[in-house]
Amino acid sequence: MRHKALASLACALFLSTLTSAIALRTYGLQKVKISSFRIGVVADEEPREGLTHLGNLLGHLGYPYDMVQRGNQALEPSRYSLLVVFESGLHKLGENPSSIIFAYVKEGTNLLWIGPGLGRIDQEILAKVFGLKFISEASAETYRVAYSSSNSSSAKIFCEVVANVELAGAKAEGYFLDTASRRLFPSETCLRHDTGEIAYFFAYDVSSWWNVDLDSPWSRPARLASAIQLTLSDSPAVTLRPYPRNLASAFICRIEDVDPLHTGGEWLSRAHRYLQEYVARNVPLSVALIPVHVDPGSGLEIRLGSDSAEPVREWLRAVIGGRGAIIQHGCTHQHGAQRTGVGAEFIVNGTWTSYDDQTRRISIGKVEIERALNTKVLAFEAPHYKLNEDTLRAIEGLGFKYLLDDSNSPFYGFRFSDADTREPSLVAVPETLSYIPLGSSVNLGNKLSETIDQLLAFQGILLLYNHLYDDAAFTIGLRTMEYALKKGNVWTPNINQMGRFALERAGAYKGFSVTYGSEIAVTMGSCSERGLTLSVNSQERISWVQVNGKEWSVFNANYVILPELPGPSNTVLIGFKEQPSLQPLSALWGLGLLGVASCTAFRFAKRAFGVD
Amino acid sequence: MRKKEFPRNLILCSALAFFLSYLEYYYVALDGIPYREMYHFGVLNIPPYVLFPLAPALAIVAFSPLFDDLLLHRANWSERSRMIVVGCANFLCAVTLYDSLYYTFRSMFPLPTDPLGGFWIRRGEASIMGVVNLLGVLWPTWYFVTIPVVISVYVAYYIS
Repeated sequence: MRHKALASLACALFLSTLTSAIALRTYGLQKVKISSFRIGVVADEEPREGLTHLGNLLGHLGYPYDMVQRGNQALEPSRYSLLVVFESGLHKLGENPSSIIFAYVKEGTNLLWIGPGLGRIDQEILAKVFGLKFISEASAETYRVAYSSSNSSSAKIFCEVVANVELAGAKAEGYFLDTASRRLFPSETCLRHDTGEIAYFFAYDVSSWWNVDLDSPWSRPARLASAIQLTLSDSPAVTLRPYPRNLASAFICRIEDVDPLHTGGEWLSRAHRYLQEYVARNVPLSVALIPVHVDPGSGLEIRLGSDSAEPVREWLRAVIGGRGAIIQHGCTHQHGAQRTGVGAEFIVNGTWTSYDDQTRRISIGKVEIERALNTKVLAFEAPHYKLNEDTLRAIEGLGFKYLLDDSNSPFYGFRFSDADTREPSLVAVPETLSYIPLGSSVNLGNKLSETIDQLLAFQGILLLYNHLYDDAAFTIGLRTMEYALKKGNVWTPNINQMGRFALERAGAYKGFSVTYGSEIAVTMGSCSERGLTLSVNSQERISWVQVNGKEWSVFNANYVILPELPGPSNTVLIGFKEQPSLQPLSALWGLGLLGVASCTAFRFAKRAFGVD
Repeated sequence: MRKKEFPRNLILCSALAFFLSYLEYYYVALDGIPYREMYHFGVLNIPPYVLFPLAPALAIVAFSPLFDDLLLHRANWSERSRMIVVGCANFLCAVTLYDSLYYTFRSMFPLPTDPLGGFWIRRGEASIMGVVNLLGVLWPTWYFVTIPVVISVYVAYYIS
């Protein structure tokens, strides 16, 4: 009798839970307005450094974006959360771009204007949209402009066109300064409309002249990233972070120009100590290795596999054992009668060597390294960064996947072998912290620390390269690494790990789109790397997450760390309010189960042990 | 099963459960994130390595007195059935302990790199049976079956 009662209780609990779940699922759903989060770039698509930089920045920071095309799409204001406008693209907005821009703002789109050309906008609309009055525009020298200074940083102004505007309601976020640091007129302005939209204006082309100012190489991308962040601060934005597991940046140290003649006791001892210090902090080294050392003058040719190169091979094996990676740095890093390290390899007197010659040289070097170290080489760095289309074709053909480059960008970029499918074939990793010259002072270490701070502010890569020429290079290299680690939240991959993650992330980013209503739905391509992170800008805390229809638990208040995304199209659903259908079972249900299980098990156990 | 074998076996099962959960949380990690958190598991939402080899390893230890007696032909059939029941209870106890210790380590002594460090079990991490909200804390539903079964068997064994 007692057991029947317990069984009835369990059935009743089960049925009530089932009924309430169905009821909540049916009546709990509400119709909400669905919008999308996307950035539109209005610019002429002709290849231009500034536009490439902007594209790299948006891609790196994980914003879904596209180039606004001429036609109906441009007249669909609700499509974009932010429009980035260059003068060169105004023709895409039709006959009367002023009225189109005004319509966008009225529909709730944020605006970011980059560079000159504001004079082409109707003055009345300019005042309403940007809160500005256009005065004139001319080259920076005309106005004696030397710098643009904002609260956080100062950017050097070069021989470029700047716009002179007066504030008519907007707030100045930065000012142009002359060489005596006297304030001239606004260089950056921001107007927050009553309805919440933000219109930001740069009076100079902030997307160009990156890494030109030696004192502050990355101040321009920092300003641009900060302005984009500000304009989207009130929008429910979702970005795909550039590094795994919600990390803010990646620190990579490259040991440069190592060749088979690096067998001197002093250098090797320093290199071993440097490696030990890095390994002790779980930071791998990436070594740019020249596999053959030649000196035609003395008839010297030493290959990495030769007996005399054993000490350096031993160090390289220790580097690999310490989670490090090898980068092929040309084959001989010279041409003709030059010694190794003196000249670029693929360009001689201004003339590029042929594709066949480049392929032959790179192939010889690759075989030499792989045979001597019994490792696969996937990364390539051209001597003196001098490479052309033939070099890129050659390294792609030889199976390299990662390229070390000096692209004047603080973000990793891609080379697409097929422009139509946009399938990346090479990841280009730039140098951002420059190198440590011979006889450097401690001041260089301080400057590197400042650059690290600047790069961390907008998630740029931290790539330092070090020849380990002297003890100062040893100390500065070590302190720089420690400074980066002290910041916390910094990833320490080798070049292959960085490149592999970038390639996989590019696969996910390819199909990246965001729509939001009461929940946020993110669509992404495939990614075999775990740890891809979605950062969510919302007033509310994330309450639940589903990945491809299955509940997922690795999330925090404003980010989600994703698992492997196997399908060509994957959906991540992010919710902020408890979903009725996903409520945990009630305590009553648990206690009922506890009671039924106890009674049944105790009765069974008593019988098994012969207890009356 | 001789009386002294029971506590010895129970201690062994508990120690193994502690060791396995410690190993899993602190050492089975992908770049600092525990493996269990970064995978979508197919079968019953249970990590595959729990199905094999962890569960069989716990089972071997839990049923070791039975295997011992079978090999030495020491016990009669009625004694063996008692050993099977105790073995089942030890196994369930070890599995429950192993699972709960994992979340205890995570909530009380988290890895600094674990994004879920400091959290007890989350709803999405529960097996297919889901979780029960008891006193504001989520408990895997299957604990509500295994714990009473284990206690009932131990009590019956003790009073027998």
